[in-house]
Amino acid sequence: MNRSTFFIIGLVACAFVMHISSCDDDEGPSMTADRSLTHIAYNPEPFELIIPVGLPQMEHPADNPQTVAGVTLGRMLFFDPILSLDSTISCASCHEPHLSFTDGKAVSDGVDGRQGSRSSMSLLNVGFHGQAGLFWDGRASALEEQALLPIEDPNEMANTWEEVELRLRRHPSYPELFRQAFGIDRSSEVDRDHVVKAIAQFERTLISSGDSEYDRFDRNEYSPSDDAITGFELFFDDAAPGTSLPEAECGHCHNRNLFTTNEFRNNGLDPVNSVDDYTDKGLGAVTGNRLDNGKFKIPTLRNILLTAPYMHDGRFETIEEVLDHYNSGGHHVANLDEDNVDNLMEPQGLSERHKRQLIAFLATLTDSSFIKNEAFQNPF
Amino acid sequence: MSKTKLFLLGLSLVVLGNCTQKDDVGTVNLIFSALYDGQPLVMNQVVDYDGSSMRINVSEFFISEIKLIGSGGERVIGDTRYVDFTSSAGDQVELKFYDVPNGTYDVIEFSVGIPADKNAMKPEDFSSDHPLSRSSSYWQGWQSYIFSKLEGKLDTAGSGVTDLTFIYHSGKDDLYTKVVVQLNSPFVVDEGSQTLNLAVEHQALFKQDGGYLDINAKPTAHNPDDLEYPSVILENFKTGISLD
Repeated sequence: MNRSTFFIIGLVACAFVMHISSCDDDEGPSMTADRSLTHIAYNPEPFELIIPVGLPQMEHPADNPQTVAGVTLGRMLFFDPILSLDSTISCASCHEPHLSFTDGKAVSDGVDGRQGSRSSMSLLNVGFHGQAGLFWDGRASALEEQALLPIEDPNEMANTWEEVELRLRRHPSYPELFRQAFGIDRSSEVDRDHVVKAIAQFERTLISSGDSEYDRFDRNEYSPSDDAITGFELFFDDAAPGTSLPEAECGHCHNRNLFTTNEFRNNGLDPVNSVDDYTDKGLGAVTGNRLDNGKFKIPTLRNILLTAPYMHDGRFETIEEVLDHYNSGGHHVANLDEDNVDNLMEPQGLSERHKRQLIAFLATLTDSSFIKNEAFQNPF
Repeated sequence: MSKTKLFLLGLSLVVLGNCTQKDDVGTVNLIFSALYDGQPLVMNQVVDYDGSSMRINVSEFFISEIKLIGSGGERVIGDTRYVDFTSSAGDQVELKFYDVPNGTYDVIEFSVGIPADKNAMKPEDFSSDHPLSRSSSYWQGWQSYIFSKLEGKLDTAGSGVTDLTFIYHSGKDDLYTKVVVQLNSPFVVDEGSQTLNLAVEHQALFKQDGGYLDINAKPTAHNPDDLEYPSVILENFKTGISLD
């Protein structure tokens, strides 16, 4: 991004923020939903992603290239409660930067305090989901598709896309930003497709900094504590042959460097007789395959100590409870013909000291630079 | 001749040339079927393992350097693919190979695993639609992709309960294993789509010294310095894969 483009985008964004903050109501003064925007320049500037060594290349949909204006707009939409029915809930309500884009709750709150059944997922490195589905149950195949759903979910934003489009078309400032991002000629052309594309462009910038203790250790720039190193060996079953260290098996599902394989697994949270007995069927409800029941997306463990409570339903308040669960081996399906719990879910024989060492390693995955990144904060 | 006519003539020749080239290739559907003792293998269902009950619930492996060989020489039809019986809907995995040169072939050859040059790379080096982008199939401790995964449970007490989990993963360059399958009749590739069926006999993958691997003695294979069981399993792929 050259300096002049950055300056212009920044100027428009500042004017937008100042405009919003000077308004008494949430949505600002309403304007006509159909006004010409062609007097505003449309010069899309590619956004340059900085990806640390060890992470994959980011893949972008051909119809949604990342631009400076698109990311700027997406960031504003992400933090703006204008998307929700009563203008109280934004994407950031459930995905707060300081909590690595989670919300610290077992189950997220929607409008009017309504609650769904799932915990907020971290958005750190979400752009690297590859071919894997998004959400705990994989029901969206792309970030653009994912962003469509919370708007009309009655337990989240409870709005309608028609209403969102009308609000944005009438908004005093947003149509100009959509013009800069997508080249529309009239405010009436603002639609849901542009909204989700912009949000997805912003979400693809949410990349870990490469500055965590683990990353520096991986580059031989940092020496973790002895406990953290032993935790690393436990985590990756990487103890020297002949040692008595147990294998915690974590790395199979939380393989580096994303610390997730982006796959779906049943980690034996609930005792059931049959896979049909899972209250929340997870992936199985999406694929229709019974043997996918009870499988959920493997979350990244980067910043894991910032993202309590844990699991898809937030049932574990602390990381210690999580380790206790895995150490116990979890619960297999009683009907062994359909037991789809991962084979690695077996009692591990971890001592209290081993668990502390694992937590010491997990602490090295904390990425303070990521959560403090100015570009990821609320622009309003 | 006007410039326009010359241009149209040239364009026609280019188009015809391209058509001729496309006529020289076809598509091969390579279908792997999972078997156990000659019967279709259903994941997680009980099979007999040397007199004990066993359930196989994970069976996956990479194949690389896939070639068809005939009188006209050998043709590489694909670099690396993943055969994943675990998540396939049934007991079959179908792999498609496009632009296979027309011809008559007598042998299909591939290796189970990843060739050394690719095995020196990591999942982040590949785009997400490439089989080698699978981070669940890479093990840092080995500095290697996991060439094959074979997992399940065994009834060790004869109680009818499959109580022991076994996990056999293989990897490292030395275990890269070539499989050669002689075709019974000439396999003709022409402009259309042809199917080649191969069977993976899982019972054969466990054979050792005239008997079977002692799963109870060594149910997991993680130690990179102890690849006895993974070596046996990969060697068994040579005879375990045959024409279906």
